[in-house]
Amino acid sequence: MKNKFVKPILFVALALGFASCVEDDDFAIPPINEAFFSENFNTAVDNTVFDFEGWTNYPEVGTELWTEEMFDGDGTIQFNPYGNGESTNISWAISPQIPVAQYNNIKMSFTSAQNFVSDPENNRVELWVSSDFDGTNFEEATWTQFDAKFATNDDDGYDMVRSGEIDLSSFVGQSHISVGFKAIGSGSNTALDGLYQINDLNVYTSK
Amino acid sequence: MKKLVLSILIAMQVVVGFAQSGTGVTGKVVDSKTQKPMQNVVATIQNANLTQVTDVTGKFTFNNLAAGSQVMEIKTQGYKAQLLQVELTAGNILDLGVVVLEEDITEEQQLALITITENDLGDDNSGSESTSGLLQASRDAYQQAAAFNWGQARFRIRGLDNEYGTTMINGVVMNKLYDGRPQWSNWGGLNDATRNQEFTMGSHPSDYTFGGILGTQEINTRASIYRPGSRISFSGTNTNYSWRMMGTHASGMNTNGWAFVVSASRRWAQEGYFDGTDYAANSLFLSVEKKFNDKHSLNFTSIYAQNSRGKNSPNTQEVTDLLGHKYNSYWGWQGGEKRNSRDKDVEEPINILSHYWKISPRTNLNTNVAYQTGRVANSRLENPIGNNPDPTYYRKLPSYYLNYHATSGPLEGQWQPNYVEANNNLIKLFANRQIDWGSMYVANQNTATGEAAHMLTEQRNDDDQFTANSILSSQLADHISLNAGATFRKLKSHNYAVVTDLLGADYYLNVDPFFVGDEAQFDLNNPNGKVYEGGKAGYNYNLFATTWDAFTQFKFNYRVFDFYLAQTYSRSEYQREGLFRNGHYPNTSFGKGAKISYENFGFKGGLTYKMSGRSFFDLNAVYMTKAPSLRNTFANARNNNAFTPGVTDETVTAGDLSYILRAPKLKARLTAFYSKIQNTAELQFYYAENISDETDNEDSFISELLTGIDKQNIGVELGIEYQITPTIEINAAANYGQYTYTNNPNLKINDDALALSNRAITDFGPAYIKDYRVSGTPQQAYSLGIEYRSPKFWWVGVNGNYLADNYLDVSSVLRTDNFTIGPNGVSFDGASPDNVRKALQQEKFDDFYLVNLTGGKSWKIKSTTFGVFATVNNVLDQIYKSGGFEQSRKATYPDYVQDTASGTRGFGPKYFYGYGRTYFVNLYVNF
Repeated sequence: MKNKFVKPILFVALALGFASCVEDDDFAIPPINEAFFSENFNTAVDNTVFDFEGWTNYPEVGTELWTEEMFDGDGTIQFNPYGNGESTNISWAISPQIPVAQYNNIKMSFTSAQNFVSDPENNRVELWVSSDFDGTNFEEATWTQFDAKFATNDDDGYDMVRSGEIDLSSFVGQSHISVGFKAIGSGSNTALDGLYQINDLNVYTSK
Repeated sequence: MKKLVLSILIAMQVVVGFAQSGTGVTGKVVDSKTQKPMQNVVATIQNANLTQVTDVTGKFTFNNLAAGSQVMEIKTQGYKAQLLQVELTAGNILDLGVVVLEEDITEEQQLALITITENDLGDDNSGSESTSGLLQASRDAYQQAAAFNWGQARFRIRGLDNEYGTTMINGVVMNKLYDGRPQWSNWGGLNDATRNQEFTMGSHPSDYTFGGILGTQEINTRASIYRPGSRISFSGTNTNYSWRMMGTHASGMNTNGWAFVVSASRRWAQEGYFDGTDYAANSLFLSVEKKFNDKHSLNFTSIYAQNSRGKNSPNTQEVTDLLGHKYNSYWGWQGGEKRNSRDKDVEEPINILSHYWKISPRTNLNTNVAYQTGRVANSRLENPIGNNPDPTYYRKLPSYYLNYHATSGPLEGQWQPNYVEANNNLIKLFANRQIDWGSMYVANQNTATGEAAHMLTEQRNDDDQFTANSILSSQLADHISLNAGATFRKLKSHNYAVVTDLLGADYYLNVDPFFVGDEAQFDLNNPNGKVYEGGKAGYNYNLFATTWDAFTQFKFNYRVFDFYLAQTYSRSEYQREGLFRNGHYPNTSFGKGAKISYENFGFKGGLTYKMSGRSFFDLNAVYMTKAPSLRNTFANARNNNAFTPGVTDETVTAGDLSYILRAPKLKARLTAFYSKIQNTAELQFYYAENISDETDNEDSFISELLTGIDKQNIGVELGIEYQITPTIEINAAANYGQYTYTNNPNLKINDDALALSNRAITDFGPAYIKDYRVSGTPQQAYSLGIEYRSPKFWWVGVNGNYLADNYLDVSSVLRTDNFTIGPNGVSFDGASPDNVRKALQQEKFDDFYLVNLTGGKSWKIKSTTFGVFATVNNVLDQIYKSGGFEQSRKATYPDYVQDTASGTRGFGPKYFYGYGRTYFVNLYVNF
């Protein structure tokens, strides 16, 4: 009688206890985000056409190109249609192919700044990403637009605004991606000739 | 004397005699010391739920028992219970002869239990404190070990905070509505007057309340139940106080139906165990009962306990290594005296009027009204426009220069230790170890306008609480009893800071110097107010709480099974009223805010299976929801009426399973326990730097709101008591527990600096604390003791204890994304999983051994008993960390790396230490 009850109950109690034990080394840590592509543009040469290796500087409409700027040791790239006389400028700064095959989640962030922008609806920058851009044939690639926070005329001029985290996990399983910044403005319409800068681009994965 | 010895020795034996008629047992109970018969002693046949109370001659008789082996227990308050095994033969009344009860020495031991003050974590100085109060249970070897041997190391039964236990005086709940914890100082020092106590463990049923999952403690101060007599004692110790005097007199019930008890005590120390911790406590107790007739009695109890103590600072390892573990940065010399800048004063008298109504022989109704008022004051230095006088302020420590990193120039961010300045800081620290009160007076006399650069304030909680309750107990049928109760509580809590000493300045300007314009105003209704001594400063508000609760409980007692079922319902309503219009929150700080209410319920049940008269299985389970405490309901009570986002009812599930053996020589209990507390909250209020605001603003008072926390406590408890000979007893106890967080709760920070832009509360996302250990108690504890009790009224005991698995309280902010991930979304340089894991590994304190000695002797001269009782705790003088917390200031990985550059951390964890070797000697006279 005694043993019949005591043993199973004690056994169950002990088993319950030890089954849910955790070791001292077993604990959660905050996520670690490792960048596998980073560009801070700090090798920029002030006031020259943007020509970093692997990057594409492509004027889709008009002739305005992205330029390299350097201010107090901090490099950036800039789109500035001011005074070029062209009615519409659409220019792309497109990153090199970034291999993503090995990651099960893909995120990115960057910063942007503006100056002289008065109509951020029509004088703006957009973020587009492609997984099949070969570095030259822009028209043949498929581009997908992503939401991100860009600087607007609510921000002070040249203040770098953080984009927030952009989730690119829809590209998981692709071999590579290219990140494109599409700037839109006008060199003849003074309401649309504000400038934009892009900086501190990071593509990363969360571990 | 010889006769006396003999009777004790035979107490455990059974002197067999035979009487006539029926099957049963009879005996006469006498006091071992006085040899006088004892009335009202309870004799119980364990397996049959039969109880008898001894008459005036000390006699009890059972005469309808089943033949065979029975275990009977004879017990009364203040005496060691006797377990006797009796063999009954049909048709015979077994005469046990004289049963001798010895005074319970744990009663003396309890006098030596020093309240271990919980670290005053955070700066909000919550009114009550967490101590080992519920540990004062006696009787069971495990509970005794927990109280007398492990309590000094802040051991908590089942790893649970006191808010999960219920402490009552005459059925009136003493847990504060503010934070759910009892304020032990409210009746501190009145050990003699509060020694009639009933305990339950875990969710075991109490006759007075539904209770929590830690257990209940009911202190009964009804005047007629005290043993008549007087007692005076005088004690010396070197713990938090040095001396104690206590006197108590109980009249017993006179022929007119009056009974009264008075008690008074004083405890004091110029300096307790830690440097600069002064202590002064005066306590008065009065209880008067009038019995009108057999049905009605009225009792009035009044308790007035004043307690003032100087606190001691938690210190970083750097400070302790330099200045020792008793070092306390809170005090400084003034006029030849040690003046502590952080005193805690408690003065909250309690008055309880109780009506006892014996409705029928089987039904009792106890109705109480209670009123408690008074104040809790925590003093604190404020430095509105002065430098921080704390001698251990981070800039004054060597580590500030040892870990110095260039903040600009080509070496920005590089480690640039400055050993010369570090050494200068060291020399200055040794020269200025303590607060310099004099320099504060000088600074105050040299401000441009007479405004205070420094001042001493008290942060006050002035509570008024009214409680009314009724508790019914009724034996519904032979095997069924009912307990039921209902309680109403209404609290008004006035919280404010008051200027108590301007330290020579003319006035204090009631503005926050770290802000400008309206935002700087603590009270926009009285902008730039000049505050003088006695005036309110900084914050000023009322909290209102109204709660109702009710419970019913049915207990069923049968021969083989006992079981019970209980249920409870409660409703809590909270509201804040601002008395200042705060500059950060002009629209939400002044006047009454919205009311919020919570409705909660609980169910519990349990079963005892009596395998035989001596072995039992006991199973208990409870499921309940619990309203958040008043403290956790308001996100930033000092400054506005807002409720804490995400705070809701918590859910508590618990159970335990025990095997209990109660044989005459061997008593043992083995319990496995489990509890899961879900959706609970931890709010911390502290002065922070660099958490959400950019500036080096050390006076930014922030609230850290951690909500949706799940915790799981599992473990095994073991207690064994073995009587080797009538004079030698061995006891052993063990606790193996694991108390962990089981999820990653959400963390938000409220920062006033961002309030005007409507961003006061920043969501930091999940705090990754899953599988971290809950801090605050050793999770493993073992005790082995031996006790010799001489028949000549002296006794001595020694206990060896091993305590392990006590963990540091981790900072939640350090475990959010904020720690690893920079503003660009990418982890900081070097923040690899391995490095982060190393940085965030929870510190486990070193295991330690405690050896404790106890001993006592008493003499009886005519009707007067003289006694001496002494303990030496921690004989080996082990210095050990009893608790501590990580500082939240260095809240990112690069900050952490910088702070650890030299190996001497400036912002490392702060620790509390246990007492080293301490003694307690008590001399007493009973007459």
